[in-house]
Amino acid sequence: MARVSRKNGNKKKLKGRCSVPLVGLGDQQLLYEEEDSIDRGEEDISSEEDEVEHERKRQKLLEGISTLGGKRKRAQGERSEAAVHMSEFSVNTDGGPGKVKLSDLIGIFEKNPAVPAKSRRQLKNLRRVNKSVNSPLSKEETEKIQRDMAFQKAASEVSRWDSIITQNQRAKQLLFPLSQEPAGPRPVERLVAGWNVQTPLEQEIFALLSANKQPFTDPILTPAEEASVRAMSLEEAKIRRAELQKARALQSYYEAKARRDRKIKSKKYHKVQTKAKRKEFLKHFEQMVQTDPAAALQELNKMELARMQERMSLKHQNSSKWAKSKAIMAKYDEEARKAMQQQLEMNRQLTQKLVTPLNDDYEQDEGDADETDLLPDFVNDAVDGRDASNPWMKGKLTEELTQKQLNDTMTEAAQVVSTVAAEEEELEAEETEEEALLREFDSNRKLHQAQESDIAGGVFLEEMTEDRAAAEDSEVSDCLSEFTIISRGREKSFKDTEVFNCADFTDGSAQLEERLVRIRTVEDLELLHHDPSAEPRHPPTAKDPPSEEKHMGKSKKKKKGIELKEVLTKETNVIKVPLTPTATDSDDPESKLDQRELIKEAFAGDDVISSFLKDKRRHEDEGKPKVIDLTLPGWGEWGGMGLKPPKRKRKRFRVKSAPPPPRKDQHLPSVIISEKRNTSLSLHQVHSLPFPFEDHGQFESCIRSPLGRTWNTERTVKNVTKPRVVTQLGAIISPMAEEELLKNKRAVAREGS
Amino acid sequence: MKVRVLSRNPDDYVRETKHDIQRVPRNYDPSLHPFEVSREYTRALNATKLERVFAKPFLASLDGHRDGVNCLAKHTRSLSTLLSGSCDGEVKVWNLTKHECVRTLQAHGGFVRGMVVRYCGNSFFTIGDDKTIKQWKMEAPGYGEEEEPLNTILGKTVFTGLDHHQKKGVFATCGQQVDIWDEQRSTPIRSFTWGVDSFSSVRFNPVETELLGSCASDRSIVLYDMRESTPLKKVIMTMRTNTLCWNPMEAYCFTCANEDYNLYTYDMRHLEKPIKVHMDHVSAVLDVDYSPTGQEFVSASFDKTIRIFSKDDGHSREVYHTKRMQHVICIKWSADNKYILSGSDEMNIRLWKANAAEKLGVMAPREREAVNYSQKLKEKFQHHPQIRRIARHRHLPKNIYHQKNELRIMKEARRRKEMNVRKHSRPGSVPVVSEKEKHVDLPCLLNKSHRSQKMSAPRGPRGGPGPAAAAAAAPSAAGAMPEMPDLSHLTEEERKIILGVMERQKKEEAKEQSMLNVGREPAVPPPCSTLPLYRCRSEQFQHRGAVRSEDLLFKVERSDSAINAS
Repeated sequence: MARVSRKNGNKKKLKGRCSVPLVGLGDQQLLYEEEDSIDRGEEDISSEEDEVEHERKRQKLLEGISTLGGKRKRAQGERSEAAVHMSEFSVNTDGGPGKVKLSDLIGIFEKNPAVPAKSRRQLKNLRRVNKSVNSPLSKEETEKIQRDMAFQKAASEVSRWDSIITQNQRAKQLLFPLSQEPAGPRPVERLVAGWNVQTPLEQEIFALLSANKQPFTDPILTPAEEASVRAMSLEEAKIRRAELQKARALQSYYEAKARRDRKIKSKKYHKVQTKAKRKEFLKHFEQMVQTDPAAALQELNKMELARMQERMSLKHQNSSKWAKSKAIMAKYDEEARKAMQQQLEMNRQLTQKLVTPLNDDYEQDEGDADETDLLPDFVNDAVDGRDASNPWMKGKLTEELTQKQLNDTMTEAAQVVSTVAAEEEELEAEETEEEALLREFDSNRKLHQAQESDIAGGVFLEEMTEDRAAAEDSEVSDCLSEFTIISRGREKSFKDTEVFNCADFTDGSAQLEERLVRIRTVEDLELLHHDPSAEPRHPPTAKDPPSEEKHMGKSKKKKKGIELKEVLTKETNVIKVPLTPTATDSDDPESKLDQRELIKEAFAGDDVISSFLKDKRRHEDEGKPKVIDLTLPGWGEWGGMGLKPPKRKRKRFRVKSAPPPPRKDQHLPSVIISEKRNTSLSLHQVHSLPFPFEDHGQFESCIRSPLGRTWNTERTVKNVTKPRVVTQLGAIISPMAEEELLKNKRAVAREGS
Repeated sequence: MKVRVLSRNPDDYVRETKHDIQRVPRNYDPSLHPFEVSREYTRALNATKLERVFAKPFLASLDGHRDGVNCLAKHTRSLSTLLSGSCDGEVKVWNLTKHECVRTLQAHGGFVRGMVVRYCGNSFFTIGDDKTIKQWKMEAPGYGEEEEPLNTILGKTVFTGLDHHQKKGVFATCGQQVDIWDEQRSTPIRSFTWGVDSFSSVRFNPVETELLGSCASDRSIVLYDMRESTPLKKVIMTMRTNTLCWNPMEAYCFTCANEDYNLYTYDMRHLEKPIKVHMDHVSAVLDVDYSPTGQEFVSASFDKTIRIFSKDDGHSREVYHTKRMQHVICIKWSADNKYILSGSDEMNIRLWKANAAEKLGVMAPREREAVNYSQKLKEKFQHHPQIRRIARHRHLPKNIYHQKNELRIMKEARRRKEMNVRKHSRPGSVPVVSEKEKHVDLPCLLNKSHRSQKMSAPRGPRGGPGPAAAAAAAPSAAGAMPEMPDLSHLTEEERKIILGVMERQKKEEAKEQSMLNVGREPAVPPPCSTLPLYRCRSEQFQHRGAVRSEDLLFKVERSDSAINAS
């Protein structure tokens, strides 16, 4: 306190100088708070105090003046009233008679019996303590402390964003707006969920509701509606609509096509049509097998008859004139060769179809073996080499496989002629079953894809036919699998034959359709077995069989199935075709030798080594310092025509420079290292290491790794070229909100756990 | 002989629909591609060139104001709406897609000093020279209705800045003090003062929504918390800050536009020195706005240009200017991060693209991919001299170009001088002051010697170091060392001289201090802060030659709001 009063003295002087009263504490504080000295703070706070003291002094002065008059007047009793602003400083500290001590006050309490004992004790303790209370801090200082505290608080509060900010800085990609809400109207329920009770009336209502155990939020949508809402999002609805549109388009397209078809007069066309119809029929048949087997059996018989008819004819047996002429041509003409192969194939198919476990015909077996011998190797190889999972080759593949299996079963059947359902056979059946299932999956997948592409793309004839072919394929395999599953007991034979039948039918059609697919690459063209050009010469395999035959076959079948010997009238006449290999082995030593000689011959005149050496010498010579001749003819001599400087002068004015450092390729006879620096290149080179990189290796490796799709896979390119900041077009990006913080916390927690 | 024949699965190469791209099989073996770097380099070069070719940032000019555009406000809910207030008190609402004014209202007498749209987007606030705060409806009044504000608050003093809280019905104004207002009341719910009597701008923190920042005429930036009764902290810079803008994605970062041609990005927790100093402008920076992504900001300057800075870069990545654009007073970055809006002295509002070469509108996926790829290429090869040369090339108006050169030379000279002084004085006596530290006037935090040096050094980038200052620099630096230097190696005479010099120095300092103390008593801003500023401005006006008197008046007012307020 003493210090304060001393200061006051100083202050007064200062005050006298500047008449302007202090405007406010704040005005003085122009600089940083820390700068404010304690002194100044004190002088400010004491300004009021000052004034009071001033007044007091004035009073004293007045009193003094009044006493100067001589007689000492008796002090008048002054009446004081409670003022609004009672200053604590007006209390006299001089220690006059009016001074009140704490002990006086406390003494009164001691005498008073109304004061409880406890507080009395406290007061006693208080009297014992002699310490004086510290003077309160100045306003400035308290403010400063407050500010400090507030700042600390704010800084720590703001620091909670640290993690998310650093995370964003490090992120490879930033997506804005941060909280992307799904477009479209929100369900009312969700809007309602965020609403809470505010007014007293609402509170009352809710209290009532809760008391009566009524639901607060009744669902606006029924569960069914909700499910439907959930089931069909906007995208789904769009897809659905597109599908419907497609279906409609397809329908109209088919209608138009049917109308066009009716008007066509071409016989050939209608032949094809009937074939297609047959296919359709097959489909029906398949269904029939499941629904009523009796009718299906009849149908089966019919088909069997038709096939027999086919077998009886001499078609595809390579005995025709055409076949013979082709055989002659086959050596040179690839087309012809192909046609021949096709013919053979067809034949084999037809003969093999017959071989069922029920018909025990060894001749046929032998014939088969012969045929396989006769067939050129590469035909088989080509088939074998194909990817088994390749669904595009499927028609062929299944056929081949079934044939093999059948061969197996056939040999077995020869041993166990009429015994029904031997164990081994069952095993076999299971095997085939499995394979068939696999194939079925494959075909289903294909079908699915085809359908998808059909939906996605426009309506195109090619694709449609493809699809249909694939669908048929799948159907074939379907029926295959089904039949193999069922194949037990007597029924088996019929079913098997049916299988071949349907395979046969669809085979032809599948090949027709497949053509569209296969022509796409040259290799596929080579692989084609059924040349479309050769196709029209052979009428479709199935013809409508005469009714009597049908009858006959039916009756026979009912007895014991088909007797091959009876049916088959003539052995197939196989023509041996001398075939040139389509591909030559490149590892022929002779051809290699030829090559070498060829190269030698081609580069006969070139002497590469000597030219290289010459080149190197030239480079070396260029690098050598030249002798500079500074002689000037006629200088210092009498002039004249054809004057030559004398030898002495020539020697004198020739300047030889120092030899260059040895070349780097001095000891490398087969290398030229150019030591000239290409300045034009340096224009494009980076001279100093750019900022974020720490060493040259880093930078170089960064530059060396390419970004483009020429050098990277699609996924890599997408990953690498991701832009750093992605914004949504036309979306307002609002500042980061508290939710982000929560999100971040959750993410961190998830990572931690 | 067996021959293996190739068999390919058409799934591998046949496209499913004709809309697909043809699949091209590739061998990615790097040994087969020896020239990948050079090929990509060429691509990058081409991409860079094309970028420059297509860099056409200027989109439209919105004209209609009858006086300079003094403030702009983005609509909080609609991207296509913009509000602008001019120096004659008129407020216009614009439709940006149609490039037309949809509503005009006479909001104030005198300037419209500030404008802000309420967070809900249904109304907006304006403040003007007529000491009023007015709240307006966003929709235009119906037929026959009068254009009337929803609410008018009459203040005691002129308001110079205005901002609205992000989520609550609370807004802040500044003038003689920073006031926080509740929308429902006609008196401020809180007032902050801290020794200054004129503030030029106040901004709410958009992330940490209770915090505010303000710029005062005494070269200080003051931070507040709406919930506290006292301000938080203050930093004083060498020259006055015109406006500040908080980063919308980083809660504690803000950037301020300074009169000393620079922008400073601060972390509010560490005000001792800025995180980054952004230089490139050649005249006072008047306004700054962050991109909504928080990655970049745009600044408007008195030098008639707009510059775009990355928040981490010291120099601008883009400069926009047109022949007719005068001093750019206000600037905004649109909320979808695509456009920049600038309001300038010559009564026009201009619409720019934020990325000069960007294609507007929807892009096809393949196009988008191509753009991304070329962007990455440009980034990858950005350090190569040829590419850098092309990518960095910008055209500048002649006067700005020369001014820039001049500034560079001056800066270089100053640096050289400092280096020489350091070379010829005792090691450690002339400390190296980094560029970041140079512009912050923090006497309490800095070493005393720094301060004295700074005090004696001339302020403002234009004013060269005076001869007296230069002469005083060395001894003052030496003498102002806090403890007595070691003089044992000197002769008696030398010692005497040095001691004498030091004595004198001390006396001078004391005198200076007392002068400052006395000067602080009346409410006049420190002379050193505003005077050179004012001079510098007027100098610029002389440079410009014929200037409208109104313009001059405005500029003077703007540059020294202390005078204006009194």
